[in-house]
Amino acid sequence: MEHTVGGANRFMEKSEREQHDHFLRLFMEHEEMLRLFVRSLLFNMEESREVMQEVAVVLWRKFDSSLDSDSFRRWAFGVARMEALAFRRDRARDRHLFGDDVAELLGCTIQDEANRLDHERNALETCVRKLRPDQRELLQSAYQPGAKLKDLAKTLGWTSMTLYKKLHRIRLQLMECAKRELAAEDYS
Amino acid sequence: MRQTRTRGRGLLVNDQHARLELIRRCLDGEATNEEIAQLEELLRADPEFRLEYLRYLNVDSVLAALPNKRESVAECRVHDAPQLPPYESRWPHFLGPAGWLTAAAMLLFSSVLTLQSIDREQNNTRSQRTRGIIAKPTAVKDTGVAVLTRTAGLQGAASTNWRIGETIPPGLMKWDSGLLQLEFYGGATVVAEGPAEIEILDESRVVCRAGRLRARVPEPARGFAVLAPNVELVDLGTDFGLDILDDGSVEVHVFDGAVELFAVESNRDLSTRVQLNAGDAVSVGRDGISKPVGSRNADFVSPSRLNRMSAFQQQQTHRDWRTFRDSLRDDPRVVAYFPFERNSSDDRVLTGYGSNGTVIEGAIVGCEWTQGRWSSKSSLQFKRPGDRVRLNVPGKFESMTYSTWVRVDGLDRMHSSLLLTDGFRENSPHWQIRRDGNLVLGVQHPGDNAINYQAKSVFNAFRLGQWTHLATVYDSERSLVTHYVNGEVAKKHRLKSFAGGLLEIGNATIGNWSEPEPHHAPGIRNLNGCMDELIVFNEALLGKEVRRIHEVGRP
Repeated sequence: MEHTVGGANRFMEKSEREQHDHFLRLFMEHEEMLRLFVRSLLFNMEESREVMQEVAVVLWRKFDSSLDSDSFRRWAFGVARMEALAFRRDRARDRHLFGDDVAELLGCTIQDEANRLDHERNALETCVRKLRPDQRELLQSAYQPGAKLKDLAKTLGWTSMTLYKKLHRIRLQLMECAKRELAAEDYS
Repeated sequence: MRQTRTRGRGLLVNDQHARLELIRRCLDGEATNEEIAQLEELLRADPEFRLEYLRYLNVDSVLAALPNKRESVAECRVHDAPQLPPYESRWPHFLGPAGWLTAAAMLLFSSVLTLQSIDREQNNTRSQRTRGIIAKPTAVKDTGVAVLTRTAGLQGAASTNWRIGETIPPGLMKWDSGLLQLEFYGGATVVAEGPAEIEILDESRVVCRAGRLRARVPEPARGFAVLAPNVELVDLGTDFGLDILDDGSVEVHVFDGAVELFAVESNRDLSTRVQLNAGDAVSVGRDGISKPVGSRNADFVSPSRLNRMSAFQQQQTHRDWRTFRDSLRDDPRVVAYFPFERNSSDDRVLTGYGSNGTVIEGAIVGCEWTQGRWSSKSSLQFKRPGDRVRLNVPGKFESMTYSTWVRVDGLDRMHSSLLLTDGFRENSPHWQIRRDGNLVLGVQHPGDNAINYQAKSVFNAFRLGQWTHLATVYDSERSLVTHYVNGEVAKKHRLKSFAGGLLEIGNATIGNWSEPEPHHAPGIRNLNGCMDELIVFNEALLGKEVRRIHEVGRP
C-alpha cells in the first residue's frame, strides 16, 4: 500500500475511506437514539440539532475503528451526554439542569428500550397516515422547519395555548395508536 | 391503569394527564424551573414514567423528521398511498444504500473538516467553547454616519459615555461644555463647542440648535449642510464657522472658500440665496435679516487647535494615572501589576510588580511597542500569531479580580487571549474573549469539568479599535462572578460550583495561549490588539473600585 509523505495528498487513502465508512455505519445505526437522548436532556429541538452536530464531530474526531457496535453505542451515549450537559451549562444556564444521575438513567433507558422505540417509530408513521386530514395539515404546518408556533396560532386565529394543546392531543393519540400497532404485531 | 409511586413534591404524580401535560410544558418551553425539577424527580423515581417521557419525545421527533410531509400527506389523501419506507431508507431513492452513505459522508465530513480547520479544540468533549462561534459570519450593518475622533474638556450628562473612536449614528448630541470633533463619513470634519445641541441627520447634514462649530469641508465633502434656527448653510468646499448666540442670532464666518446661505425652511429657494466668500462674516437675526460683522477666526477652534488642546488634556490625565499607578504599588491586594511602560534599557522585558514589593518580569515575545491610551504612554501590540508575553504569577487565591485596558482590533480567532494560564489546569482560570464578542472567565473544576462565566456580546464591530476597560471579579465569598465593561457591570453570575481548591495562575501568557500538554491541540488564541495595563488582585474588588480604575485610566 502506498503512503504519501507529509500528508500532502488531498485524496483520502483507502484505509482512511474505509474508516469513514465504518464510522458512518455505526453512527447511522445509533443516530436516531442518540438524537432522542440529546433531546430528552435539552427539550428544545433546535438546540438538540446543534448539539447533535457537535456530537458527530467529536465522535468522528476520536473514532476508534476497533469498536464494535455495542461499545460504539455506549461510548457515543457518553459523548452525547457530556455535550448536552456542557451545552446546557454554557448556553441555558438559567434553566434547571437535570442531575447526572437522571441523565444516566435516561441514557440507559433509551439503550435498553432502543428496539421498542425503534419499532414504535415505524408504527408511528402508519399512525400519522391514519390521522384526520385537518390533524395532518396542522402537523405539517407546525413541524415545518423553522415554523413559529406563535405565528401559526395567530394565523389560525387561536391562542398559543390552544395550538399547544391541540398538538399535544395529537401526539397522545399517536402514542396510543403506536401502542396498539405494536400489540397487533405481537399477536400476528 | 398503573399507579406511579409518589415521591418528593408529590404533586400530580398519580394523574397521568397531568404528567403528560408536565412533559408537554417542558418540551414547549413553558415550564418553570420548578416544574422542570418536578419532571426530573419523576424521571429519577419512576422507570415507567421515564419510558413514557421517551415515547412522547419519540412521537415528537418522528413528526419533526417526516420528509416531504406536504407531498406524502397530499398523496395519501387521494390515493391511499403505500406505507412510507422505514426511516432508515428515507434517504433519496436514487442514491441506493451506498449512495446514502456517500451523501451522508459528504454532509458530515464537510462540517467536520470545517470545524477542524477552524479550531482543534482541547482534547476533551467540552466543545461548548466552540459553539456559537462557528456561526456564519453575518454582514454588519453600519448605522453610523460619523466617527468621534477628539475631545477636550467634555462636560454634560450624555457625554460621559462618548468614547474616542466611537461610531456615531444619526441622532441628538447635547453637552454642557467642552469640545469634540466629528468626522463625517461624507468627508467633513466638524469641531463643536458646548454648550451645544446638535442633531445629526445623516453623513452630510446636521441641525445645530445651540453651540459653536467649525467645519472643514474638503472637495469630496462639498454640499455639507448645517441647518441653524434662522438659516440654512450649504458648503461649497471650505472652512467656515457657525455660532448661535444667546440672543438667538446666528453668525456665519467663512475662513476659506465659499458657502451659500438660504432662508430657513425655504427649501433652498434661490431667491433667498446669499453667497459668502473667504473673509466674510455675517450675523443672521431671528427675522432672517443678515448684516455684516467683524471676523473672529480665533474664537472658532480648528481641528489642529483641538488636537493641541486634547494633547494637553491627555498629559494631565496621564499624570493623574501615574499617581494611581504608584498607589497600586502599595496595595497589598495586587499580585501582579503591569503598567505596560516601555523599559528603554531592555524593551523585551515587560516590567510588572508583584505582592510585597517584588518585581515580576514578563518576557515579551514578538510584540511591538506602540502608542497607548495617551500619546505620551506606551502599550504593547499583539498582532502576529506568535506574539505574547510569558510570565509567572505565584500564589493561591480564594478570590480574584482581573482588570485590563485593551484595544481589540479584531476577533479573528475562536478565542482571543487576555490572560491564559498554561494548558487548562484545575483552578487555573482562563480570561479571554470569544469570537462572538463574549468576555469569558473559564475555570476548570475537578473531573475535567470546565465552567465558563460569560458576559455576552461585549465586543461588536463598533467597539473594535477603541480603548476598553475590562474587569472580571471572581468572588468566592459572595459566590459571584462579575464582569465589568468600562466600569459598568455587564454580567453577574452565581458561582456554578466552587473551584476544587484555591485559584492560581502560575505560568501564564498574556495575549496568547501556551499549551505544554501534548494531548492538547489548541487553535491559536492570539489577541489582535493592544494592551495598556493589566492588574490581578488576590481579592474581589468592589464595583466602585472597578469604576475608579476605569475613571482614572480613561483616555
